[in-house]
Amino acid sequence: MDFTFDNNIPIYIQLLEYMKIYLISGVFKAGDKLPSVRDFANTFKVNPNTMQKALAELESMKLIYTERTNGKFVTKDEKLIEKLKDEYAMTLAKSYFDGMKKIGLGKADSIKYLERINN
Amino acid sequence: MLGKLLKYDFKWINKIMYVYFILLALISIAVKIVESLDQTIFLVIVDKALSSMFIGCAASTIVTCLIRIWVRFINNIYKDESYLTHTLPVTKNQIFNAKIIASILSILMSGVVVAICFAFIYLNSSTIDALKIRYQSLVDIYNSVFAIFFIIGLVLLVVFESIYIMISGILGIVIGHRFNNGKIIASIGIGIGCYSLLSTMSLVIIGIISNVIDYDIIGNGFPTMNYVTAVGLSSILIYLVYDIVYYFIAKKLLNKGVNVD
Amino acid sequence: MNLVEIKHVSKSFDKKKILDDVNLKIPSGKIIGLLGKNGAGKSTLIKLINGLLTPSEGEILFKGKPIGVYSKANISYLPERTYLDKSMKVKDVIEYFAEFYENFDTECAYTLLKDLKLDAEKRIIKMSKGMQEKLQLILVMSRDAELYILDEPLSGVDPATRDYIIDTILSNFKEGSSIIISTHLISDIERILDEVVFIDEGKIVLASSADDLRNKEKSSIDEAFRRMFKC
Repeated sequence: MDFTFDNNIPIYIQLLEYMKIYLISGVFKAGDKLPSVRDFANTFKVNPNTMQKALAELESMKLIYTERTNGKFVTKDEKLIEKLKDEYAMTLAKSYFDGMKKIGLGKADSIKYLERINN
Repeated sequence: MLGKLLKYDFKWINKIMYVYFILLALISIAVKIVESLDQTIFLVIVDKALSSMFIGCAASTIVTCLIRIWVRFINNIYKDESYLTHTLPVTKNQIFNAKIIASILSILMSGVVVAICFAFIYLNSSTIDALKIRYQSLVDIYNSVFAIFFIIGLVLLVVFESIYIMISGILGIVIGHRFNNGKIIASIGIGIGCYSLLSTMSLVIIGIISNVIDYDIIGNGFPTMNYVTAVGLSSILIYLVYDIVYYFIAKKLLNKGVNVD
Repeated sequence: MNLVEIKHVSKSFDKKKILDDVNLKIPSGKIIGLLGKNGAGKSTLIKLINGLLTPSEGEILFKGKPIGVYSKANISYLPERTYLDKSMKVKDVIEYFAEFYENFDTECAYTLLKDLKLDAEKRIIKMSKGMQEKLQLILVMSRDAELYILDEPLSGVDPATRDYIIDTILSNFKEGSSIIISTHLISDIERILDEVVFIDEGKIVLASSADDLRNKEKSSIDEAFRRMFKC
């Protein structure tokens, strides 16, 4: 898969987003061992330092943790990932409604549009 | 590291030389075969033609060797390849010394090959006898030790003079690049200048020496031993000193730093 | 720790100042973009670090030592031109590098050659310029160096090659070592940079972390550069 990056935003923030989606969608499940920084960097085709920065950020959010000799693991706390998923979904929903609001559609109308999708 | 540099320099300079060596050998063998046959007019003409071919080929062997030496130097030190040469983990002295040693070895090798082929063609019982007579007359006039030194001196003189031609060219290239932004014609001009400058000077020096020492003729039109020794030794010494002086000047200039464009 | 320290370095050619009192520290473990327009002095600075030029004033230290055998053994340099002996074969060139550079990894070079489907028996003279440049990149990245200096590795290449080059750089540079990449094509490379150095008319006009600059200017580095130099 090809990853695209927007040069206007720090790369590590964009990597953080990609990683969050990985965790939410279950590409890496709770307790899973993560690939090394170098492997991640090669997958995303980014500078290992930048990858390290993104992972450090995830770690400070307690979403992943480091075992001194074994490497990095996804948190075992599934609730934390659930919470992340919830927050992320909320952000997406909000941005949808914000967009609709800009073209003058209220919440009820916006939901109608949502229901029309996939039917 | 010097050895590795030397190996690559020597290899590159002589990459084409082997072709000349084979050609020289083939012509020599051809001459020998033609001369061993009954001499018809046709074969005499062929023999003459082959002989002149040999001389031409021998001359171009030496000239090509010198040109290869200089081209290697320019390519490696100043052209695109210099980006690699000057970023190798070696000192500038090692780079320079490797080139000089490789050049001297290459000249010697070409010279020896030409000499061997020459000897192969022209040495036969009658020429060997003639040479023996010449040698004997040297021994008669002077003495046997002197005769040997005389021959060694002649060989040394040729070797030092060849090295002098080579190193004049290199100094010309170095000066040309330093002060003329690497214009080839200028480098060649300066090279020839370097060569002629000291060559003329050596003539003057030898002239003075011959004036100082009496040019007595002792039998058969030979000069005295003192005279021959003085002129001979001073010529050898002069060329040796030139070689060394040009070597150090070129090295010093190169060590000041090459500014690759 | 600083790998390279450039102290008050100036360089003049025929009284024309190409570099003017440059001060710069290159830290270890970073990818640094040396960014500037054509003729800004990027190549001159790089040649000085590699000992191809000598400074008119000031000094350059590599790990505290002047430029010389030690720095050359530990800096892997990709110049903008093709510098190989054209009469050699690919395998000869690999042997040459292995002989002179102790930190050269022959196996790595052959693996990269294979990825490129490049025949080791091929003579350099028979290769296209683009292929020669790729071979040089392979040779340079096959060294386990402390500093890689890549001078305009992306100029004049198609997008596929550009991706190949960036991939090769990223997947082969050794952990803890630094890379200096000079370029005037910023947008292609900026996502992999830790630090950026802007150079213009022989002077360092800005040295900053890439993300700090993005945050401060609220734009890409490319845009920040364009705004600063209005080109």
